[in-house]
Amino acid sequence: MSRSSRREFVQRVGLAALFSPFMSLVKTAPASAAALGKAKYLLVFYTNGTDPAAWTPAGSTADRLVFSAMTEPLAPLRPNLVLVEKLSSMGTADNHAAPGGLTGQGYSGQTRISIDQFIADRLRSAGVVTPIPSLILGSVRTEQQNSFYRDNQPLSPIFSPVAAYDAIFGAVGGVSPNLLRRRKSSLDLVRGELGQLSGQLGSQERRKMELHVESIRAVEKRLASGGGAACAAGTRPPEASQDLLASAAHVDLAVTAFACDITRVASIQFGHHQNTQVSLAEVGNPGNWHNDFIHGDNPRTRLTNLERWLALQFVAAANKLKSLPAPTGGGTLFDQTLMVWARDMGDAVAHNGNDMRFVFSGGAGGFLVTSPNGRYVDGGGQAHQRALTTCAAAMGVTDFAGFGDVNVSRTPLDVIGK
Amino acid sequence: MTHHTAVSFSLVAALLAGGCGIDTADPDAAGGGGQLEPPACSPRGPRMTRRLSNLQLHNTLAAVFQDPGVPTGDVLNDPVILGFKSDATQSVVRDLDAQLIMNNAETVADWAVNQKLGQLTSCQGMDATCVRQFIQTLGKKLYREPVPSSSVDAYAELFGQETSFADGARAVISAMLQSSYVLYRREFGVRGSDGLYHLTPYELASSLSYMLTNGPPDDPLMSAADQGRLATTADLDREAARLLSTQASETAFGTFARNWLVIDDLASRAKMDPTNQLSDAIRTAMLRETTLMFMNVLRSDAKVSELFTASYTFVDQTLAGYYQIGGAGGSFGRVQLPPNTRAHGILGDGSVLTRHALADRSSPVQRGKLVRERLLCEELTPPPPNVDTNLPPPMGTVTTRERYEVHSQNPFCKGCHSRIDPIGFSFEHFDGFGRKRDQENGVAIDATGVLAGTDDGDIALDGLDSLSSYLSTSPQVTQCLARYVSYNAYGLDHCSEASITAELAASNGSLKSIVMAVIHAPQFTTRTE
Repeated sequence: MSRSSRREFVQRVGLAALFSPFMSLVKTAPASAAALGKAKYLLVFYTNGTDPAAWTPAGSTADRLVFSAMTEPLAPLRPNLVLVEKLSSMGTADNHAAPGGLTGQGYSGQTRISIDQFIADRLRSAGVVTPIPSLILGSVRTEQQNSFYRDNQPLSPIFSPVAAYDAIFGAVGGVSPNLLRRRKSSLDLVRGELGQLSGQLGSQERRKMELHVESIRAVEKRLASGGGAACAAGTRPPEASQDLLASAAHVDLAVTAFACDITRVASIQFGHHQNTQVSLAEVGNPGNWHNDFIHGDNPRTRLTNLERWLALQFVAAANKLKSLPAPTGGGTLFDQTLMVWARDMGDAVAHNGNDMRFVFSGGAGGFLVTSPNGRYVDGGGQAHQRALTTCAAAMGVTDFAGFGDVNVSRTPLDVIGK
Repeated sequence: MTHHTAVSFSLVAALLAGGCGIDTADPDAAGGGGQLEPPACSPRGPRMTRRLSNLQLHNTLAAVFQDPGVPTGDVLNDPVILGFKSDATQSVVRDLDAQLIMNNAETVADWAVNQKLGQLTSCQGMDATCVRQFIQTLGKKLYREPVPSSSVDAYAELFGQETSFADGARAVISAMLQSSYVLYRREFGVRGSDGLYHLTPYELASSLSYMLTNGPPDDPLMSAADQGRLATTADLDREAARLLSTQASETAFGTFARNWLVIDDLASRAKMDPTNQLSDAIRTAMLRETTLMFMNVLRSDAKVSELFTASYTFVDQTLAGYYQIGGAGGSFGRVQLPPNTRAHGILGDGSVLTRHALADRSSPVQRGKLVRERLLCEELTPPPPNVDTNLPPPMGTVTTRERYEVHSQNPFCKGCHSRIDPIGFSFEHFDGFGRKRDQENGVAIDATGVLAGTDDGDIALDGLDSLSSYLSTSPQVTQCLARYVSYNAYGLDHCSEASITAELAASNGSLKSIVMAVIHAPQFTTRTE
């Protein structure tokens, strides 16, 4: 439901209906998803690179996937699954902590913006306004949060599921007129004080105050629009016992945010290129993803097990998307979502981005080219940037000015989507 | 972020534990051409605001409401830069942060009104006198300075929209906790005849207290600011000495030491101790040991060298048992190290040895990296892409040292690893869990090594004590520690370096003299436009 139509809806049924926790789950009959040709929601999984030899689904073809041990848990998604390999980062994602994975630009890039932020901006420009422009969740509390970018500045994900829940659903539903009034008055006051401080600062320092004011304006806009539809926000999750489990909880929150139409773009980072401690029974003995699994074990049993666990999280997200109607209409959320699993690097063992790989899934509004037995795409060394712009194209964004490396093709890969 | 800084901190996380070494890391991870750039600050930086860290915010609320149970969580997202959560440039409020701040402010306001209202005000009338007194009293604590009159008026207006004192207080507290005066420290100063901006007594009080206690000024410090007793160096010295004796300073410098030595995440490190001795309690005790040693050296005005050569440590019975040194009581106390047991100084701490290791074994690379980056402030060059950094599977090798010696046989790896691994080899008498060993898989430990390329040439090593002994004499180690103390205090790297170096040269070389040199430097008290 767009913001304007929600307003009309509120006017018609009154505020009380908005406070019903299941309001957003009551939807009209879906339109034909395939007819739309574009996705309404983008769910990004972002993880470390892997060992290509162990991951590659050897023997797969353009109309049939033959799964490796690492990819086998993805099998239930087969009719909506496209695995892409052998794309080149063109030198932008040749190592842990390289920024190219989602930006297409390397260390020397001057205009880095990650594809999720680029798409969210373009959606806003096109009038698709949701209470939160985009979500970046997960990762590990440590140095070098350089997966997501805006204004050439790395953006830190929200680490804590509790904080994420509060940020996403804190303004949703049940807000009394008194509290709303207090919130607005408080923010007015806070903004006034920020102006006082800002006036004493040089331009470089003032930028910090400006970011704060922009953040407050976003809250104000949200308050003005009613904070997002009241919907089944679920319960506030507990803090997770380890980072990967926190990321799994974040996926749940992101999908619920989609169901409430609070945002259209959500990214969840699993782990961090260096500092991910893994202690999961499914994986084996505890260890560090980077030190022990990627660069320590041989054979890579724990890396394989971890990849399988991640694949299961991807499938779980798909299943949750399938269980919820799309607030925009057009079937379930799965029907309207492009799911993409991207990575910071291609071959994490050998430190290169010559073999970038993606997993695409979701109904994506009918955008993805699919096959009943799944599809495998050999990228043939083309720029992985093209897979990123494919995500944009799937969301109806076709002007790529301002994204990626201008010296590298930004044309979407039509072999992936329509 | 300066290039110098960025390379160094990017490598903090970048070195490999197992392979031919070091990963290529982002040379401009914290900004590049972005819009948040640290200002030049030598000898002093510009007037600025500094957002509190999440911990500082928590400590501030805990102090103001006199309750460590104040409901806070991940309200502020702290960038970790150079190992610390104190960066003045990258610590901002952006995107969804204002939402989180608002949510938390409302939660705390509800909690405070329900549980602390009687403590926060001596009157609960709706008259202007009572309301303004409430605003000014609470506001001064939260703002760490008297609330500007325009803000008092604004809060009074907010209060006036409510019909009960409780609701008025709720509205005021909620707004205050979102105030930039609460969330940021001001370092503005007042322009003097010398053209410089001199920080106000209240600003200095905050600088001192957040540096030395990670929390807001306490009552004596605020009184000193009120009464103009924070004007001279002697005033700062007096208050610093007082704050350094508080429990809060122990907590604050414990945090500093853990970040400096990159051991703060010890509790959550995935470890595979085959003996199952490395319990959560042992990890906690290990961190406590490091904190107590650091505070002991700081408070006793002992030389920096003591950190490396101390022939004693601070343990309780449990940790003493783990080290097999005995002599400890039920609570933490100072214990003399018997010969040929735990190594001397902080590099012998279980926290350091366990954190800088792999899940199931030691890591000469990680330990060598620790020395280069955190003790010597040196940069390590990452390897280019397309290098498989994995060590070959161990074939016939039985010791960690033998595995890593592959590096010295490979000319490509050798270039960098000759500066790293031979330092780490000197740690080999201690396994990946901080326990002493004389053999590994039945083979006698060889803990010889080299600290290559120092100002004194290549230093031959044999065992961890030999490394610590050299480091204790190295001016580079003191300078490096001073860099981290100043960065953590100022939030900017390489500020007032010349002043700090000069003061240290004339000092007794103590850890405390580093802290005081940072407080005496131009950046601490004055700013440019």
